[in-house]
Amino acid sequence: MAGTTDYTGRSIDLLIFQGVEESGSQQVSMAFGDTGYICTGIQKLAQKWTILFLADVGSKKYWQTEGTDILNAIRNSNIRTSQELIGHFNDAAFSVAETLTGDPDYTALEDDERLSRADLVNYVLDREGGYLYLKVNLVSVSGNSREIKLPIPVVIK
Amino acid sequence: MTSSRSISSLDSAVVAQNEEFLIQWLKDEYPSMDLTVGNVLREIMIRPAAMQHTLDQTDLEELRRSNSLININEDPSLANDDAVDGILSNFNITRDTGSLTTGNLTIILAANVSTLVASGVTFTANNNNFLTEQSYTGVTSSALVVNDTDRLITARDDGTYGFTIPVVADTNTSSNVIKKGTRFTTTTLSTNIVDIVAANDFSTGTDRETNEDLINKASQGFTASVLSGRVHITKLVNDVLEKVTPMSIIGFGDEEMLRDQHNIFGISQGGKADILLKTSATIETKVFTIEATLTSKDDKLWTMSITRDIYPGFYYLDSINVPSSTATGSLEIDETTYFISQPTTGFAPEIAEVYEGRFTAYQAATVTFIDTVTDHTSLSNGDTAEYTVALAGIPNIGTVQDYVVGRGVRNPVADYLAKAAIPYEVSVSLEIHYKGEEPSTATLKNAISTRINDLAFSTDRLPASVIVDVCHNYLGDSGYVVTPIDMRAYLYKPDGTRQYLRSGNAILIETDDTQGISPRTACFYTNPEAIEITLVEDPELLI
Repeated sequence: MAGTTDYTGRSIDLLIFQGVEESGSQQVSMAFGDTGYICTGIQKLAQKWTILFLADVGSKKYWQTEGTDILNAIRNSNIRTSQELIGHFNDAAFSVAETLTGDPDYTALEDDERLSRADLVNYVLDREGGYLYLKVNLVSVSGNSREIKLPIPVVIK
Repeated sequence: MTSSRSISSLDSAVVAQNEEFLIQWLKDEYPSMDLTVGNVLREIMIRPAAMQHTLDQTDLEELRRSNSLININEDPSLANDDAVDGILSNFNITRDTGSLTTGNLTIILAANVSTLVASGVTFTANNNNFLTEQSYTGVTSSALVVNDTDRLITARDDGTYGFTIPVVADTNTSSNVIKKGTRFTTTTLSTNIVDIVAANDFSTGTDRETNEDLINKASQGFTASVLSGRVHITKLVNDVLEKVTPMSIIGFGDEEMLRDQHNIFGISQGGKADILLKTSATIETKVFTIEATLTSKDDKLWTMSITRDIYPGFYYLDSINVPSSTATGSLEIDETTYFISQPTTGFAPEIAEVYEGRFTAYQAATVTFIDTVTDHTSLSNGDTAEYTVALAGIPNIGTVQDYVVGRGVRNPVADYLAKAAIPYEVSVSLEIHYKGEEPSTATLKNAISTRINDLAFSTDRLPASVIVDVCHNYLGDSGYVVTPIDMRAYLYKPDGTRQYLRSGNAILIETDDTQGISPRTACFYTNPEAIEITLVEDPELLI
């Protein structure tokens, strides 16, 4: 995994995934944090990708094209097979990529802050807990990656 | 100033512009902030700020458009009403908030039994709703009338009974024109009620003045309200009537000015002005009870005087009936003779000929008519009786005249004569072919009526294209008007005669110098009842 440990002079964002570690599997929670943390690099990319991926398209009054349809598809039970899940994921990932690259300032970001690809590594349906876990691997242009697991609540019919 | 807008009513493009503006501004101040799309800082800081900034800028822009007469003038419809009111109040100009159409309904009963009409009952005619403002009770004898809401039921000559109640429109608009005899419907009344009709022409309400109206008023606001130049006289009369009134002022040098030519040379010598007014969008027929004298028992001929103060400046005598009559027509009118009646004290404008004083507050008339309804057996010549007389005219001619002859108001070197505009009373028949949902004829009639009545002075014709335009605006691609349209008009001339005009193309106002008729002195009038629309469904229509 290519990467850097020197983040001096990098542009930053507010960290809202609290509990993130540099490596290893770690459960995170969405919050601003007690003292307010910032992030950069691949973590910043993972954060913004997740925000855009989990936003319903059309849910933002003045930014109607942002977001994806995947939550809507899951809520409406439009996903019944693995192939359908992969299809919807790819479609959503493509939408996120389009949104990211549509920003005129996107190309000015560092390589490890720009998305190369997003892969659906695996998924687990927890029928009893009512969650669909998506395991996604995000790879930056610089080659480093960040794996995230997204627990999406579902109603099992 | 609190914004009257909601955060969800903004222009998306402007929000996007402001988002970009804030990003650039913050990037200049804080280069290390990543504000690209999807970032938390952008979502929770930039975007809410962009929306609020847009809201503020929109309000500020509206305020900018409203903070001076120049800016308001650029597009009055974009200015803020409260701000416009505030600015124009500096010039003593206030917005007319409009008034409600009012009138009386005759509740017709099958039997003479006490009948309640509750407060808030809705009566509908021509797509217009009217309400009772309090409850009224029709009572069977005058002894039971103890207050104003008790209405005496009287017998009608068709075997039914009736009583009258006042109603008001539920919205203020100048388009809800109701003529006498218009039939109303309602849903919540006693089964004893067999019909509901307008007892008289309703007094048509006025629309709330728009910013554009106020700006037009502003040009008068800076003008002195004096009997001097035309703009000054216009301002003064509008002040008296408390609304913007179409008017035309005829004076020295105008071909229509006849009153200043009474000299041996027959030339204009000035010193006189006629103020032609259209104080109402429609001709209003008012009903009066006037005493008549039997002048020829053998011929059943009666004579009555319509004095100048009964309905100052009225246009014509619409009907005469015995008070209990339910007939829609009139007793036969043998002759109507107009004459000038002026006060013996105080100042009055000089009026040498009757046609110069027609439609003015100094007009009076003597009417002879034949009463074929009353039993004359026990009557003798000289006996008197009361009759119900319907006069058609427009209001406030007397009010304006009284004001302009006032010693403190009148220019000492001139006299001013207020006149109702010479009327062209228009009726229209047209055929519409449509597909899909049936068009509302009531809506169309109201729209056509309003458009015609909006044609004020200095309009020399009523073109059919105006009516077609109104219909097209309503129908769009779902129908068309069959041409030619049948347009008819009665011109009531100052000499007392009536001229019938008919055209499929345009009703013209032709100049007649002998009576002062011209586009500057005449106006078109109509009402929804005078618009006849035939609908023909054509599902195959392709437009």
